[in-house]
Amino acid sequence: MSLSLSLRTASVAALLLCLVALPAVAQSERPAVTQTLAFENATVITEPGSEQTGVTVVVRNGIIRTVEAGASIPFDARVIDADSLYIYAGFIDGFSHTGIDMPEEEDAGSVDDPGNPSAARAGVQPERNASAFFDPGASRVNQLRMQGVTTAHVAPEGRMLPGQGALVNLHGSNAEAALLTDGVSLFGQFRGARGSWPNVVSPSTTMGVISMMRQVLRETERRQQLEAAYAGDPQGRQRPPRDAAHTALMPLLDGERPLIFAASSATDAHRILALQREMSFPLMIAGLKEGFNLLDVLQDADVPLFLSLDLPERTELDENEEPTAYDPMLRVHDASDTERERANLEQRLRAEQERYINQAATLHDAGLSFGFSTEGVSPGDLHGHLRTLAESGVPHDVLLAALTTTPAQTFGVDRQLGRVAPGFIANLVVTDGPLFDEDTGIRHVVVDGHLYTKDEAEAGEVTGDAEAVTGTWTMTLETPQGDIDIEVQLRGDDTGLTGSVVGPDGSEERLQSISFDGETLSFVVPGSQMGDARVSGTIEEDRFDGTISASGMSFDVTGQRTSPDRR
Amino acid sequence: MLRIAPLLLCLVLWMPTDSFAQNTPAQRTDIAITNARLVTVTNGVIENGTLVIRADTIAALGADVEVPDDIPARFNADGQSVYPGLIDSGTRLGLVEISSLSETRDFSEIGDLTPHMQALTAVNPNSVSIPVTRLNGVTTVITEPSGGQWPGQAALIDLLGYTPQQMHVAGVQYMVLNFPSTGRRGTGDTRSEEDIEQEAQEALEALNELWDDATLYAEIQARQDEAEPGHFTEYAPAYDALVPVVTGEQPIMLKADKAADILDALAWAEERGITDQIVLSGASEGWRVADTIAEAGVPVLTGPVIALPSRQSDRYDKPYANAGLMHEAGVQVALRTGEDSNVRNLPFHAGFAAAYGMGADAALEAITIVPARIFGIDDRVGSLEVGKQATLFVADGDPFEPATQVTRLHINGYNVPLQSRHTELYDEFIERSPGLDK
Amino acid sequence: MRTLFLLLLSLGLVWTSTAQPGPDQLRADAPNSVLIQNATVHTVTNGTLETTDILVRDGVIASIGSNLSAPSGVETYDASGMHVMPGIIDAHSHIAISDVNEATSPVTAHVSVGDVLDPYDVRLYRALAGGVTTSHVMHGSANAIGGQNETIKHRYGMTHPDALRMEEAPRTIKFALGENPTRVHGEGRNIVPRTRMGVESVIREAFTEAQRYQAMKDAYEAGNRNAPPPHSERMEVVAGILSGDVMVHAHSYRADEILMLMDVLEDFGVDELVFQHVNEGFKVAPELAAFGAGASIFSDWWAFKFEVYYSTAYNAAILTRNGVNTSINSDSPDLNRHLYHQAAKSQRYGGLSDEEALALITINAAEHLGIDSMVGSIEEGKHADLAIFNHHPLSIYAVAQRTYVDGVVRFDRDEDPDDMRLRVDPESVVEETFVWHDADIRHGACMQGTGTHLHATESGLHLHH
Repeated sequence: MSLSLSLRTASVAALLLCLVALPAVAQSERPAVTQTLAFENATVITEPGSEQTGVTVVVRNGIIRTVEAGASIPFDARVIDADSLYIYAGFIDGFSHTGIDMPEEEDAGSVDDPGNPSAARAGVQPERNASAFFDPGASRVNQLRMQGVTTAHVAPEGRMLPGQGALVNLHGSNAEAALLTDGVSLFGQFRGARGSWPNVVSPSTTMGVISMMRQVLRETERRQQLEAAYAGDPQGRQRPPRDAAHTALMPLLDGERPLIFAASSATDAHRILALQREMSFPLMIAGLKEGFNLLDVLQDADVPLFLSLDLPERTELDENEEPTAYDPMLRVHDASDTERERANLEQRLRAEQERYINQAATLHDAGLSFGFSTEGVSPGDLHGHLRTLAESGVPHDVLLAALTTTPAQTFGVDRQLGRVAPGFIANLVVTDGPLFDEDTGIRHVVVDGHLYTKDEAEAGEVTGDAEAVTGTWTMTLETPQGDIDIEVQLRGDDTGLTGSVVGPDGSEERLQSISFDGETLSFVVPGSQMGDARVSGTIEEDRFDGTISASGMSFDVTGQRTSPDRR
Repeated sequence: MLRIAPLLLCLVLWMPTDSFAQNTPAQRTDIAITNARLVTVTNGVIENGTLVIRADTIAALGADVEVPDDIPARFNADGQSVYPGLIDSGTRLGLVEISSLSETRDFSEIGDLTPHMQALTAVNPNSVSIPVTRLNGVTTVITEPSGGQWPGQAALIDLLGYTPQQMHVAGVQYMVLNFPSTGRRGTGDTRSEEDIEQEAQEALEALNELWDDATLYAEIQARQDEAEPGHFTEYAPAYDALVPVVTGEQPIMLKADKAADILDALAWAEERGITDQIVLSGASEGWRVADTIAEAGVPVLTGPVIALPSRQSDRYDKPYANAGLMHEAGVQVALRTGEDSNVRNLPFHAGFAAAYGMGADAALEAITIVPARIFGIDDRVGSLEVGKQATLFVADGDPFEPATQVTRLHINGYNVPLQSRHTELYDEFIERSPGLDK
Repeated sequence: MRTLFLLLLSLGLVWTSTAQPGPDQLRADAPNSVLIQNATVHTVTNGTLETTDILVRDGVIASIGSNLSAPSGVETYDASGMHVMPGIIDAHSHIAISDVNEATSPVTAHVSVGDVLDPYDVRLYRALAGGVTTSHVMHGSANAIGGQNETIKHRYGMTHPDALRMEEAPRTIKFALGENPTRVHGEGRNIVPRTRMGVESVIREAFTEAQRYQAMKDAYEAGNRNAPPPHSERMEVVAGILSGDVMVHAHSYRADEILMLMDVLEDFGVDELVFQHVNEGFKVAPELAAFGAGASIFSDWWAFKFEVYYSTAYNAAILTRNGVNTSINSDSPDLNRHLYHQAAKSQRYGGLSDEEALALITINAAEHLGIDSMVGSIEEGKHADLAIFNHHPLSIYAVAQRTYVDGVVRFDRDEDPDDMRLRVDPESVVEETFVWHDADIRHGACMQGTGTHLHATESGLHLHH
């Protein structure tokens, strides 16, 4: 799965609202009552492996002030009874494009010399900075935050060298307010330049990208030499050539700013590590999925790793099917063996899926340390995947470290982030049970001292016959600007419903709070700062009649179930 | 590009008519091939035999055949072997001259429903590929259109003649039907499994509707004598072409490769009651469902044999073994190369099938008598028998072996010169003159 | 009995003990010493030896003779009735690489397929099953001066890209003349070259620029210039061609373009040159022989484009008889599985002897790649890259039984399971089936990734993707 997935994560609700909302009524936040919080009598995991009970955590002006039992509670505190709650340091996403909103790219038309395009067209844009494109109000920021991610290392989107990564908190009125550290990294990936045949330009392939990396790094090296010589004695020398791209690469060669490179496959990881050995620069690998296939190389390389949390779905056995033992030596002679072959190949597929799921455990067993990347992960799946990793044998402390202390160290912010300790930035995750337990849910998230409380109503309630609504629906929003068609998928049974909506542009969003009582179906399309969109209406046969409301406006919605019961 | 195209077109139009005429015409002379090893295919091998060709026919053959006095010519085979002409059950021979030049590609018409296209029309009797092909003993081929679901009609031709009609064998024409496929069209085909399934399902539904419509069309046509003056029935050339198909008069060459597609195709044919009317073509995964094919009694034209496995997880040699496995399961198997300019490799495809389980005898049958029977021309070709056409060749060894040389070739009695573009260039350049210096 | 270690036997990895980097997922415990007994040995360089033994020690051919005895701990393989030939060398392939063409410029010397080796490609195994042990994996033919190639050993099972590399092999680069570069750049994008004149000009210009580039660098080194020229990966490699560090392998078909390139290289003092495909090589065989250029050809492909319309399958025979060092290559993930058969066709078309035919896919190919001192024949001291067949390898009935690379069995017809994939996409489905089209699929992979498959056809021309 490519990192470009993020391109499709534009919030459907935002889109719908953009389409339907008349001049948006900016929903201003409630005035803040206080900047002081006190979680009373909590179980606090101050850092991986260290747990204290009956502790009060006091937060003021964005900083953790106190972490101790029986601490006095400031007079201006909003007090939260944390008797049965657990407090963890907020999670740090080691790499993603969360909240990154890139400007529309210019037309990828033909150029005079496609073998030597401009740096920008080639995708060599290391001078760009993620903080310029980060929007703390983006829906994915909201969604990840409610899963406990309080800090993210975000990078611009683009081609081979899209720009510099920034460490941001997932809160703030604007990018500057959210920004922790700028220029944390240079982001790179094996992604050729924009333009499709016949307008392709160099580099168009992975080998082209690798070669272009060599080109720009060696030329940067040359310019550094020229600049040094010029600084030594300018007389009689031409001024060294200068451009933003090469200049932005100098810190990489000086070892001051690492390259964080997206490499999910073993082959891609090998390739960027080979380039690193050849050119010698600080490197981090992001989004790795096949680390189990190059353990020795990773051990030798000793570079920070951010493993992908995008785990494959397990292929389930068909009903009534007895699992057979996998026979790696199976040979199929004729038609009579093909059933056995199919079962065997399914077993192999399942075993391979386990290798991907077990990546973190395998790396841990090999003595490798890692953080995580949320890129390509649906926020709603995050905790399920973390539990899967816990079940796969990654010790809970290691898992927590990968979410907190390890990335904090990697990014040099381990004195501010990653632990629940006085003086640290008040980024907290408050749960109603131990983090990786099946039934544990997140109750509060604190970012920069700002409290977010999970909406209890988010989980919907199903009291009617779920089969009356599961399947695919085509719904039409009757807006003043004209009709808009969306497709809604509902899955599940009487114990609960899940679903998604696909907007007219093909973007997809998970639905929240799906309720059905036999007559009324309602659900929420999660939104951005403009708020969620709530859809509610009645079901009769395969017809839906209702309304969508958001930002104080509402429109009629009609729907038709086009196919029941999606597998 | 646009300026170049007409130039190329001119070039191509000019080429076949002028400079590539055969140097030596084929001659029909009554002749006796003596001192030969006669590989009859249907009646074993006759050592030290004689075969008499009179006009277009094998007049006599056997170990102790007296050559009649009125046979003017003798060819002493000197122990070499005589084989019946080889039959390729699926090619594009004659329909394409230079496969990268669209101006010379005449096998795929625009549209999904073009059953009225006839490959025979576009067969170029002067294609340079034809002499190249027959030099390896290949005398008879199916040449097929391809493309949409109903790409047109394949024709059985022999490889001697100056008009398609001269080449057409016994009027055999198959209606080609590409059965809706759930296979991927290559590694670049990234459709989801669901999309593939759905597309195939929709295609099958459309196929059924089309068949029903064509049936109605045929019924209406049959009632033309009840026509009312001044009232005109609809005219649809595609349905016209399908009338003989839906009325059971024209055989169908049903193309399916993936195991599941083959099963679906057979089930569909059974449902339609046309199992006797179809032959399967392709069947690259036929071995997986060989028993079902055998049970249905449907003949299979399979190949290319020398090809890649259809699944990454398949054993490397499954394409080589496929024909043999089907044969072993009781399927009537003929081989095809799917080639255009290299149909000459047919005996090598058969050789690979032989080496990977089919055995040399069955593999030889799969490119001689078996296709002859499938196409209903076993009264003319496919074996060396008295009364059959003299379509045969002489070789100095096993024709599957690369080192073997074909030394004499007859098609329909004509002694065909063993010349082609390839041999002519060899003759000219083996010792080039002038050489390095002039 | 050797055991085949598929990774999935245990989910732990199996580590190799040899010097190669990284884990071996398949043959981690396979020895690299063996005594092959009682075989018919086609040495290629020293005739055919009946009832002969080959002792392999530590991946190298230690001795060849009769009644050799196995040192302790060395397994024997009874090859009675079998034929052993040198591991087959495919001088033109596009397998085991993620990219083929960087078709963005008429000169892309700066890219290298060696940077994108893919050791997981199951086609490495399928070629082993046809006796291939070494492949010259090449950049495509979209550009007059294409990218650099890589010579690899089929050490299938090892997943470190470096494990595939044949480190000792000299560097090579792909050139392409004629229709492909003119179609891609001239016709496709209105960029020179659109003609064979343009191809020559592109090459001469690149050579001249590289001379100037190198001269500037030298001047800087010598202190005659206070700055080196702007760095150019492209010019670095082209300069390497001129200095003899990088050998040219030129995709070519027509006689005129073949002559052109020999003239150009002669003018620039480059004397090592191999032509690839070179369908009309037979027309200028005396000139090729005089230059000393190699010809690596197809056995019988022709008529798939205009520039190969005047071809002959007798090319191998004519070239060989005229003293041109000739090899037969595949350029195809199908053909590379039966190069022994492709070589055998030179006997039908021109009557080459057994030894001449086998040389086409062994020692001659090795010479084209500059690795003939290590591989390409069965000689003491050479790499133990061996292919064992049940019949004479030039017979149609030959079926490969075992293939050794560096003395390690990497294909075993009797022992290997069906499913030899090293990697399974966890998101894939079990019964994924590819249906190949007729004819169209069987012509070279050279133009992969150039977008030219948009031309003319419903299913792609020379692309099988």
